[in-house]
Amino acid sequence: MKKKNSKILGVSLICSIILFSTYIMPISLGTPLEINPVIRDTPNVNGEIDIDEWNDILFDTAYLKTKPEEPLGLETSIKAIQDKNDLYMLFQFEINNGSQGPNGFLAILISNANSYTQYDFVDAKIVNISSYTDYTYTDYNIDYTTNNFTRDQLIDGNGAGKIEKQSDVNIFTYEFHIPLDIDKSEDAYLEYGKSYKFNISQGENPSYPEGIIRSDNITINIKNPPETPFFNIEILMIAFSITIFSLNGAFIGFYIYRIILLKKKMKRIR
Amino acid sequence: MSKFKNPNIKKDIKKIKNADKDFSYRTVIFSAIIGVILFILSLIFNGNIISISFEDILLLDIMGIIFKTTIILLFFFFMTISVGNYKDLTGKPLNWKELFGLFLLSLIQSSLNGAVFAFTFLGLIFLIIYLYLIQE
Repeated sequence: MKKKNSKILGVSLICSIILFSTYIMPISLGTPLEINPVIRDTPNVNGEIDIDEWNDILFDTAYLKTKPEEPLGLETSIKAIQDKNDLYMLFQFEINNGSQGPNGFLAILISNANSYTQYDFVDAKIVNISSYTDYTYTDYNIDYTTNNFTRDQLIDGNGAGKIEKQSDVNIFTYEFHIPLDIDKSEDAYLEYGKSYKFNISQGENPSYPEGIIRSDNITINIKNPPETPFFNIEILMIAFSITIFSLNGAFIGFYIYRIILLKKKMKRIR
Repeated sequence: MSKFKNPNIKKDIKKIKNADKDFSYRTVIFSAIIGVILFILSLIFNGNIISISFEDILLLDIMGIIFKTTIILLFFFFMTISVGNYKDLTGKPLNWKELFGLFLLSLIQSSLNGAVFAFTFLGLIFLIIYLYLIQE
């Protein structure tokens, strides 16, 4: 009996360790977070961040760190939505009051390939929050000859940011809209059905790389665009409905005609 | 018993027969009018011209399904009465072919909603069994 108990105890201990390590490993070993965007109705990135537009999607959590060896970084919640043409991302984190200066920003650095090599990160989308209400979105590319962000001639995509004050912390929320499948020299070319490495960087002022305080790498798996069905089901249903009720209507019409004929017949017989 | 027939009796029988026919004809007309009204209601609700869907409230959703089903079953019932009396006036009984035709015309009205279709199908079977037993 004692042997059996110790066996059960041993097995449960091993199971607990495995379960525990599954949850701990991505944080402690810095395994990059992998995000699969949800294909559904997209939010409207128009300057006003409406969290309700993201309601039915679960958060993934990344940890922005100042150094890779840092045990636990800044907990950042991420959501991603994709549609036929664009990728939308939402980021949220809390920072203690006063710990971020007036030029705090969040940058998405996008790698042109499925690698974390520094020089593959060619594109940067930055939202710079200057006060509780003011923000700016800028589309940069990373110039490794001068080692700095360089403004794109054409701004692609969009972004927004806001700060909510809650007692002793500020909640930072950022929203990004990134076009997909657009081949432009200034931006990373994000193709459908491929994985891309993103670097999420948070810092004081948008200068590369000294302005970045903490960052983390994530992988985004861009899905293939949803296929438009061969038949439009709604139109098909309307056509079906019209057919059914027309058939019924024709029968009723014919039947009423027969009733009128019968009346005349009855009069004639009398 | 008198050897002479009363000529008024023939007239009276004819009058009664005519009154019966008038009554049957009125039934054909009124049942058909009710059938048409129910058909219009069915077109509105089952044809999704007005969509009543309470996906969050189960009870209201069930009530919506029952309402749609009832409209179709009543349509079948009144049209069967009307067509049955019409056939009676023409001197032929309502046969299975016509009953099956009415069954199909009623059932296809519910084909845009699975739950309404299932309930209508069961209801129509019940009504046919009921009418068959009554007519027997």
